[in-house]
Amino acid sequence: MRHWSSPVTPKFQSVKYIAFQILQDIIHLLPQYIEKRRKFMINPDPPKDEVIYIDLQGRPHDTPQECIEANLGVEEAGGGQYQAGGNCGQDPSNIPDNKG
Amino acid sequence: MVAHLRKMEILEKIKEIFRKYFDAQKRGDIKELVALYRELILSRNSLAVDQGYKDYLDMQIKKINRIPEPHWQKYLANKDAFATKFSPHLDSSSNSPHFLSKLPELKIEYPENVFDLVTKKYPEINEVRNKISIENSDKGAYFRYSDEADHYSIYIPQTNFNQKVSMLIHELAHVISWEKQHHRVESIYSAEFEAHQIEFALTKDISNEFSQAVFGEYLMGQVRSDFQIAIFTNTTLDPIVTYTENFAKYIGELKKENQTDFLFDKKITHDPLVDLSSAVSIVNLLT
Repeated sequence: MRHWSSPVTPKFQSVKYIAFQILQDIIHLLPQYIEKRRKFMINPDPPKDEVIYIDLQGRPHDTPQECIEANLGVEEAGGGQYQAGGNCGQDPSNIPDNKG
Repeated sequence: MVAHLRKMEILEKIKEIFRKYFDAQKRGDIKELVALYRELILSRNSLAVDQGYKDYLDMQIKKINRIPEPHWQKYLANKDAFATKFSPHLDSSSNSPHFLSKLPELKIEYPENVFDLVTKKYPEINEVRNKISIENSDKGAYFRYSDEADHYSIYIPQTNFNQKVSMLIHELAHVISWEKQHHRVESIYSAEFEAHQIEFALTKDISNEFSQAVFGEYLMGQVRSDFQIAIFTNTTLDPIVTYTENFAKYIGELKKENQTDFLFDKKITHDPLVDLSSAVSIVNLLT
């Protein structure tokens, strides 16, 4: 528990305390957040085999563009921007007959 | 921010799993692939739980596809009956779920006669016919509409002729639906439901055999969906046994060497439950 010397009412003191806590959390987590974001988003021209971009549904993509578009598709579904895709089960390339 | 960090951690983990997964695929290490597939399921479930859903399936039903509850319940109640209704009726060999390519090639001009067929039942397609272009695709069939150009691009892969006809009918059905809804759709599910409704009405006009074969092509989507419904809701299930059982339910016995095919099927590994809206629509429309 932190000690407060400010001569304010207990109610205001508690609001101030919570705000201070949140600010502290943000300051504490900010470097971690920036580092993770940097690692996750920036990957300039690495070998194709190793590049994987994961969208918000946990699906992998080869390029950031595809990944962003996939995320937009989810966000905008129902908002008039839906891009219909997939004629399910009818694409022979999706029925695997060779392994590896 | 904490929640965001957690989400990024999960995504980072999925990325790592995929790196190992691709490597195991190259080596054909089935045991490792099954272990990694299980990890993938658990991570995707965590992603959904973090967003307030019961599991990944729940997130797909409610957030992504927005499947109405009565349709979802009807699907759950009827999917097993649907499986037996169509499988014996179709001449399917055990590990080849292709039906359209087994039919004699349709004697029609592509794409002109496909447009003619659609126009007979849905004359409104004529109003947008000159706004539609058909292009080659390397990843299945889909369409895109450009607001700026007021133009539809339909992408069809180079495949068996009958399949191309069927795919074009399905995508044109999306265009009809898109026009009817004034370029707004309620959800992925409603778009898929309406497209299948139009598509099935059109394929019946070609022939009963063609229509049945189209249903047959969609059985693979049913297998994928039913398998993943089981796997995402009960993560202790053995994926190989569950996949084999589901394949047998809809299509037929799977040879031993094909029982691990799902580990190489991008519609399962890369795009989980991508067929869900279609599978639920079809069972709702045909039962």
